[in-house]
Amino acid sequence: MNLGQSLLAIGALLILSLTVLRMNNNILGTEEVVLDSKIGVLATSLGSSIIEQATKLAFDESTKNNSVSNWAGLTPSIDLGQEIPGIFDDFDDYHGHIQQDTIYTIPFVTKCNVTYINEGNPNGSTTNRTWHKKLTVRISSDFSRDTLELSTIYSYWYFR
Amino acid sequence: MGFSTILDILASVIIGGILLTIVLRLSDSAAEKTYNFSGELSLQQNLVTIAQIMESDFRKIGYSKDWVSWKMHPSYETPITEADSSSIKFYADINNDGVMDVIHYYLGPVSELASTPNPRDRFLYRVVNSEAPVGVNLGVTEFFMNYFDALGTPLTLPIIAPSLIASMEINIKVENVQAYDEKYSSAFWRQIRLAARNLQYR
Repeated sequence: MNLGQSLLAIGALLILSLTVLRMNNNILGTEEVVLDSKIGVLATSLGSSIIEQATKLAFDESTKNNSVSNWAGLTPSIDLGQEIPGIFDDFDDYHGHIQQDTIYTIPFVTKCNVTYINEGNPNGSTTNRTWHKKLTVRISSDFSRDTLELSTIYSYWYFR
Repeated sequence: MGFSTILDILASVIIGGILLTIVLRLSDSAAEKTYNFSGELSLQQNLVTIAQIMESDFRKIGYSKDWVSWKMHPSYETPITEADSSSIKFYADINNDGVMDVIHYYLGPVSELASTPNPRDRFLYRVVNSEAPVGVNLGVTEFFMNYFDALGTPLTLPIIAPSLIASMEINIKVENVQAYDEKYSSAFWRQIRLAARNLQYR
């Protein structure tokens, strides 16, 4: 084999190697996306479970048994959270709640945050008391690149 | 033909063979991955569809548009009439027409889908009122439920008093119906707590 043929052979091998590497890279990338998606589905189920549980509760500690007709009767934003540790009896008890779950060997950490919101700006938050509270649930896992965020708005209403 | 020429040919054949093997393996791997990824996409879509339908139905347990008539119904206090680990039957006005429907979810036996390559897949039936059960194979291999009372205490199976149920945990696992080289992919859904609004005030 002369020099020209050798160079051609080396070039061909190089192209083949690069093709194989690229292909493997693509396959691994797709596998990662698939795994991320699977973990995302599980994380969504965790987040929606917490939202389900929270929206089943009373709007505020002071609306558990009686109705409130004035904002001043609601819990101040600085006091949102559990009144008695471990007891969830109203919506804002999920403020600051951190939950760790393992589903099919995949560990998840869920962090919750509850704020009052103004009806004109549901994406923001306010320190003033209003008739609307927003629960934001963030679910992360060491096995996933992204943190999933779900949120829901819960408003106060009562039958008159 | 000299000795060096024969050596050249031999070396070329060996290297060519190695290259051919590499290309064939690459092609095989690409085919397997393409098959599996398509299957993954399909099974995840199936799982999400099942979860959406079930959540929508389960949230409506005990709900009726015509609340006054429903309150007179003998099952008003017990909208869940049957509950077991892999089956549940309940009343819900699912199409919001004021007429209560009876929804029955249950898992069929493995033998019904013996014709599919996956030995574990089953039909998950959703029967509304008295319509005939129709199976759609979405690759469900597991469907089990746990039930909790109003205090969050797990209820022991089988459930003797369904009226105690205040919330439930739903677990679903789906797998590919067919897989390359019998390597089945799977995806899970676990709704840790699903509490129908109309169960809490009883």
